[in-house]
Amino acid sequence: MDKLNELLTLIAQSLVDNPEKVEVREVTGEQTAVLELKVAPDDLGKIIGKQGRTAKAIRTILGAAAAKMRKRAVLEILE
Amino acid sequence: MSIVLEREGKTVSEAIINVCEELGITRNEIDVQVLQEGSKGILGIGGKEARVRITVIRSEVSEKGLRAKKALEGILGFIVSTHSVDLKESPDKIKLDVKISDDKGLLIGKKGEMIKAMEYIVGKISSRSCEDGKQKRVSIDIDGYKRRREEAISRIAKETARKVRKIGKPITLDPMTAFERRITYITLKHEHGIGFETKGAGEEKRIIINPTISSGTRSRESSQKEA
Repeated sequence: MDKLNELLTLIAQSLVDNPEKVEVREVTGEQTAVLELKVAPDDLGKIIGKQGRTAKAIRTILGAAAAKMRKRAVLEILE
Repeated sequence: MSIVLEREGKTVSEAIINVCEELGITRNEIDVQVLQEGSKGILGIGGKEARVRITVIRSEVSEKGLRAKKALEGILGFIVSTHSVDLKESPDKIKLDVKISDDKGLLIGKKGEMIKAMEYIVGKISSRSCEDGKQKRVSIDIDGYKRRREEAISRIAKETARKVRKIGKPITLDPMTAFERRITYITLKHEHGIGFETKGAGEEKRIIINPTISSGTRSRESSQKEA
């Protein structure tokens, strides 16, 4: 299950200016994996995007990766 | 157009390996010019970094294209086990064609939603760190899905235009995504005897095809005059 974690880390680190500040915590349940993403305050906008477009795209990609494992993924972006 | 990069490393070979990893290319695809040999110094004091200038030989692709391919392969690696990505570039587009055997539906998504999400993220990642090819749009296709969709939409547009000319009344098409509307506009531009407009907003945007009996013949006359 740590694959989702790695995927999110890869995408987030590729998008931000401070990749070393990217933190991902995963809480895995029976059917749902909750992924908590923390980035540097300056990078928050890059992860969310205009009108949440980037966040939505990340959720879609995580959703596909989770579906492959017959799970659901929930992305929480922490401030 | 060729890609030229300067990079540092502890040794010359380390600097070369770093560049190859960064762009997802092999040693055979680059020319290397050593700007400065690295040296260890004494007891770690006075050491110098090696500096190299790398020229990528494949000139038909841009740096953004290579970065886009690398980013897409990275994401795909987490979802499907085997895949191949083919990179092609035109003046305004970076085309990434993905070939896979299973899980096509997963990578296409509902109405191509997953393709759109990957295009957006890969576009963002690849244009972040380089200027070369920045104006190019990233276009991803999974196993020819988009091509088939384009053909189907173009066919519907042509058939509807024919129907409108025949009955002389406007016909409203089903709501379409931005990508689908683009194909429709391009197709309809080549059809004579009809005009079109768009109504609605967001998910409910529809194209209406109107009959314009006179303008069709007029445009043909004018084109004859030009010829």
